[in-house]
Amino acid sequence: MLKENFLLGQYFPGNSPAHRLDARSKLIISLLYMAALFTANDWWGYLVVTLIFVAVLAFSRVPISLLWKGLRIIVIFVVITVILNSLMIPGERVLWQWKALTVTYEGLMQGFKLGLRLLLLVAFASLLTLVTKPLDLTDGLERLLSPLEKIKVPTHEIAMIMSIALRFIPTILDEMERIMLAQRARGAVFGGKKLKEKLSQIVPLMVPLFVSSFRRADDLAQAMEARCYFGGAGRTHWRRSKWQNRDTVALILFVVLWLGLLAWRLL
Amino acid sequence: MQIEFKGADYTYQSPTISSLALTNIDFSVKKGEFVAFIGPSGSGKSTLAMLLAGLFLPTVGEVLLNGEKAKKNSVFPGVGIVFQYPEQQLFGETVFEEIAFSAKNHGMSGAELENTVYDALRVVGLPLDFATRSPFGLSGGEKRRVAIASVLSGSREAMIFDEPTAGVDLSGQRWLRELAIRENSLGKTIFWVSHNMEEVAKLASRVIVLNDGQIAFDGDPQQLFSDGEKVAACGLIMPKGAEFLQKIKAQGANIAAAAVTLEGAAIEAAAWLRGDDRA
Repeated sequence: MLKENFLLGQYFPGNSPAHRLDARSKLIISLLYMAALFTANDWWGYLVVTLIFVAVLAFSRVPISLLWKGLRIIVIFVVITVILNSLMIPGERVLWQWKALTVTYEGLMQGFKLGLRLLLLVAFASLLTLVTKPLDLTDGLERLLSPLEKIKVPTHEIAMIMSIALRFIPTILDEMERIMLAQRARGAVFGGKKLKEKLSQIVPLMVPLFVSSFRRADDLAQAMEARCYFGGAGRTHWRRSKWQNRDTVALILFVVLWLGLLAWRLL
Repeated sequence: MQIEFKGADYTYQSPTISSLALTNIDFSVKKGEFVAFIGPSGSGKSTLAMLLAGLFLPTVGEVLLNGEKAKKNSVFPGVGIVFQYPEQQLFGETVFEEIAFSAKNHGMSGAELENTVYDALRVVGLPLDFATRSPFGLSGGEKRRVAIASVLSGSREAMIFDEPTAGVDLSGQRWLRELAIRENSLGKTIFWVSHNMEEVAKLASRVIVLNDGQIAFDGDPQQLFSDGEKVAACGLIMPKGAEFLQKIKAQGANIAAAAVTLEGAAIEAAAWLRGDDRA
């Protein structure tokens, strides 16, 4: 029930063109797309990044209903962004006024732009993990970061921490659901409206969740040590991903997109 | 207290897959019964336990406690459920707070609450001075007793045990069985989900067999276990006592194979050896 509403870190099995791309190119593409999102500053720019997102979604063959389920939570933040921006940003064309509250056309538009930016940002990031296996994602990240090894950055460890974090998001959500059931069975009611109720509900949920997460972390560390894991030095990979032509093509497309938007903004 | 299932189905829904766990479940249980649920892994026993507690609502059909449906995000009042690792739900600063949690949620307070908590401590066999200690400082077995006491304090009507003896040592298993028997003798309805045929043969007055999400048998344990073919068809194994009697009978002994527990089989066998005419 919780997992349905939380997509980040989940993988959607498939064999689409987006699935087949190398994790490294997908990571760089995601960064480029985010850069493009923050470069776009007028409606034409936003139209382009939205269309690009739709195209990528089509290529990934991830059902839109699945993505929507994961984004529903974000929509709340988007709505808050729109409301706050439309109230806070001063402008000339006043649309609505009530005592000290003023909604201006400029504020509303700014709110919509920021909201769209936020929505696309999270949607694209969710899409990245939906079409990339967590293990591939980590390997990709590790190899992208590998030049930093020369200045003693523990790139393997960073990548490992990230992959474990990603891997455990669904597990912890499962655990949370289980604990909620157990506490509901003891008469706890979740989803109260008052702040005081909400706070008192948090303790029976979070304490067991922390305890079990620490136990799980201990178990995992022991299991890794039992299999002689000792970190990055000298580790090889069973499967090495190969950079292919399609990766280069996809990457060039996104570099062009970003540079195009940059030129559009500056010129 | 009466729990009724009327044509209940339950389907698990997830974004990528939906699976039917229970189909067309129909039965009703009266106050004071000791009902065991058995069946192979994945047959829907735990889902059934969730429906019994009112934690899940049926996708199709109805589950009623005293004629009323469970409300959404609530549970059946007075029905407690002990999960497989109940100690994982502990959160209280003291054992008292932990045990009082469910009684408080059911509206108890003051002296009544205190009495209920200390009663529960006594029932699970822990010293009363444990009430002021932190549950996290206790041993594994003590933690489990506290967790069970915390369920006990809020379940006046019925208790569900979902595979309670898995991963518990033998004396702990015996203790749990005795606890269930005692609560049952006080008038509580007990639901016992298990894989262990001996346990079921010994404890239950009624057994409901689940196979592939459907009820394959509902009745007297004796009647089920004396029919080897039926037991095999349900994907189960015989309790040791029943198996022994069937095997000795197959060897040509003229023995009554009516008992299902080990004790029962010993009585039958001794009588047969003495030459009593019981067959």
